[in-house]
Amino acid sequence: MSLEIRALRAGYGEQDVLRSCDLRLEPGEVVGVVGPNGAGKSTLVRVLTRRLPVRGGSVSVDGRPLDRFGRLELARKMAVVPQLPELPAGYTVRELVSMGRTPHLGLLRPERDEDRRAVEAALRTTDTLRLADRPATRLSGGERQRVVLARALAQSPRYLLLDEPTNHLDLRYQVEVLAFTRREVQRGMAALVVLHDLNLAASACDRLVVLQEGRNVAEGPPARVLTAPLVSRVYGTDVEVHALGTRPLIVPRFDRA
Amino acid sequence: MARALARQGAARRTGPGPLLVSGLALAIVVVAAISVGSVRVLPGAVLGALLDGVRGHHSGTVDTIVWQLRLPRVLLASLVGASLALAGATFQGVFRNPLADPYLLGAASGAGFGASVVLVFAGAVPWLAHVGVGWAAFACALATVAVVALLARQGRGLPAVSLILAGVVLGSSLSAATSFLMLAARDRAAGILSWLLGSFAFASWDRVAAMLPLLVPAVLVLLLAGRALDVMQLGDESAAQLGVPVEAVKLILLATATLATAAAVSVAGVIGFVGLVVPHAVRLAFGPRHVRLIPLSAVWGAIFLVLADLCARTVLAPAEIPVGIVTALVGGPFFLLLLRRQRSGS
Amino acid sequence: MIKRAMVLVVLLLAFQAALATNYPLTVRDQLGHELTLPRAPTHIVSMIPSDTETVCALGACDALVGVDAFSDWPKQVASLPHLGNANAPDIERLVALKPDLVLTDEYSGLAARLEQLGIPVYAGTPQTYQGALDFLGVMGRLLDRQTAAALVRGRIEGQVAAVAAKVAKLPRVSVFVELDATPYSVGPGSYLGTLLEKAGGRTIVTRAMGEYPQVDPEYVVQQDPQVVLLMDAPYGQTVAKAEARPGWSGLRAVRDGRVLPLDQQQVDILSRAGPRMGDAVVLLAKLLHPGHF
Repeated sequence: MSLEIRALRAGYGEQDVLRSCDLRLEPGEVVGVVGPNGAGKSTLVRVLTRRLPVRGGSVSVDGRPLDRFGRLELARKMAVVPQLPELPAGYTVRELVSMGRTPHLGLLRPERDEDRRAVEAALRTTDTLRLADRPATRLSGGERQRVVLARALAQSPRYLLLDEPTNHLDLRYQVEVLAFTRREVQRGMAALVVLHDLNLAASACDRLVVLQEGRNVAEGPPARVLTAPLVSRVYGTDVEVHALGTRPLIVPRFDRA
Repeated sequence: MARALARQGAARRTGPGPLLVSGLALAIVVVAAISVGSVRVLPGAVLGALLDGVRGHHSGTVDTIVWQLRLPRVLLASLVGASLALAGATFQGVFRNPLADPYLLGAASGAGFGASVVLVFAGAVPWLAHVGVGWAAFACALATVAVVALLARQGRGLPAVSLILAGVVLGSSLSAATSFLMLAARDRAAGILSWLLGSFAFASWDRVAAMLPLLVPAVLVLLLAGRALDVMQLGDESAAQLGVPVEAVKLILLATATLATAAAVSVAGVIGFVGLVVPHAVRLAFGPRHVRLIPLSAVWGAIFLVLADLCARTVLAPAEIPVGIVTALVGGPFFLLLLRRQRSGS
Repeated sequence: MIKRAMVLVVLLLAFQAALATNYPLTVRDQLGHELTLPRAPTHIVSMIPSDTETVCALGACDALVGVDAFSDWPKQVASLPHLGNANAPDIERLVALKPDLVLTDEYSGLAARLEQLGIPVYAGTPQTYQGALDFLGVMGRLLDRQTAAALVRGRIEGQVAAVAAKVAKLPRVSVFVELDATPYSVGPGSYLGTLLEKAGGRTIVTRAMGEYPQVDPEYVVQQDPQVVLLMDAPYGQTVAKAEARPGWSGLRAVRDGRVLPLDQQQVDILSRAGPRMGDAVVLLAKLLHPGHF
């Protein structure tokens, strides 16, 4: 039961952005994907959400190739927390989170008790139960991201895909989103998180995959992967790496700039 | 008032209450509209005529006026109002834009052109006269939207911006062509203009019967599309990730809404603002959930247009104001009010 | 002698009898639809101003019970109920008048609607000189006023013939008929163009340009018409404004003071292909050849 990506090649038009990407995601772990802009992180997300075709290599979910899944079937297995979520006006938080049950209900079937329970559980996990009847337009930035996460959790997915979920959030909310994700992962989900912030990635993820120019350059626990030579080489700027307990701390060097 | 209603949130969001109340309002408005006209008929006589008709005997001028003129007219106004509001709600949902209206993809311009061609050339080309203004308008409206969809297609998708651009371009071209016809055949210009501005003066049971087979399936399809429309408000990508077949749903909904629009325009001319303002107002008052928005838009669209037609034929009696002018005069300021409410609220 | 007189009387009576309409009468209107009248109509509604004039010219004015908003001649129709116009009719009121004959046009769709309601309709609007003359005959039959129709027709033809005789000896006058300031004018094939011909004039528009073409203002200046008829004078156009147009100061019509504004009455007479056609031709003759008429 895993998400396996082998030698994945994908791109836009004539260009390939991902040249050879390998990744394995299993339940109970948070895997982070990091790398400079243009490395292929967004392309990877687009392939997993089937907006881009697989040009080479393979992606399989629970042993089956990605393109063999029906639309609803895939949505029941994989949920996405997008980079810039839209929360349409007029709907309450509960109504928005309930939309996460669509893969289980299709377009016509009415809600069942199990759907309502899944929604309640998602609201509780993300600590948004008290916001349930509030219109989505009256939420703070952090609250909105939690609601989007709740919707993804309501899908009862096995695999959670978070696409740079922390970009515009205050530190507190960045931590919240990743903490709630870790909580769910401990209960059996698998999470793939694309992140920009190396230190956040180092603290929140069990394993990291570092992409550069469409290829893996490193893969493994953060402490082993994020070394000063590697980070300096991949990102093109000098850094120092200090150990903070079991996690590395990356500090850029300004004197050499 | 709309904000207070929205604040009451949860209590208003479920339950048949609003639909029943709206239905009742429609019934009252319909009865009132049947009782009023340019010929004074006392309410008792109206009732008598209605009962007579139900019992099967029609005799006398009052019966003719009530059964052959007013009743089909009011019913047609309800059906057209419902169609336009439904189409408007659908377009606003598919394009996720509260400024969308049923004529966005060129249906009105197409219908106008088709009608003008018949009005101008029916004398010289007999089979045109046989086809008639209504069917020509209907066919041209559908053809125009089909061409717009073909122009906007990208792969298997129908991107919103391309659709709107193609709709504007084709719509403008056809409007220009219609204007040219009006100028080239000046003696028909008045007739074309009358048709374009919209009127229920020629309402008949035939037209009511022509609308029903189009409107009823459209309503059913749109009611079933409630959840899809809600989820699509999250954006095409998020909706796709939740398993919604976004492009297929868009195509079906746009086709259905276009059918309803084409039917409405072919029997009543181009009546504006109903499709734009009514769904907007209903959304502000009753919330955006489409399972409720769709049927309520239909009912309130009917109410709005029946009342507009009532004004059109009574305010300046015995002259009639084209109903499209009434909806614009009422709808325009009302829409501005809604916009201000919305801006101050959010 | 007495025998001859009796033959004459018998002939006259026979003539009269032949000129009386036999009811029930079935005719086909210009939409091709059949109309059957059981007797001479006594409750007539006319939705076309020229039809109203025709009915009254035939002496059946008292049978009119309703007219459209634009019918204004003869004066007595002003007091009749007004029913909108063919494109935007007040059908309710029309039905309430219980008409036994409605005269309307072929294009508005009103005819079809009235047929659905079981009301006898004659759809047809004469657009040409000859068409209007024939229409007189048809109306004469419908209303059992064939003698009157023959007389009206005779009068029109007489007026036209008289004018024709005089203008045959006069040079043809070139005319620019201005329908509006765009400018729109009339071609020789149009109704007004035909009347102009009969009145000894000719429109500067050529046949190839069509019946109601939009004309290039330069063309007007180039053609240098002898007379300009301002049909848009009732709507605000003035001689001063027209003469001030670029290039117009050099026109013969301006120099000779023959830019002529028409009033609403005159515009109506010239626009309606009906019983006043003879008056229309006479009016044109007066405007084009002052001093001879």
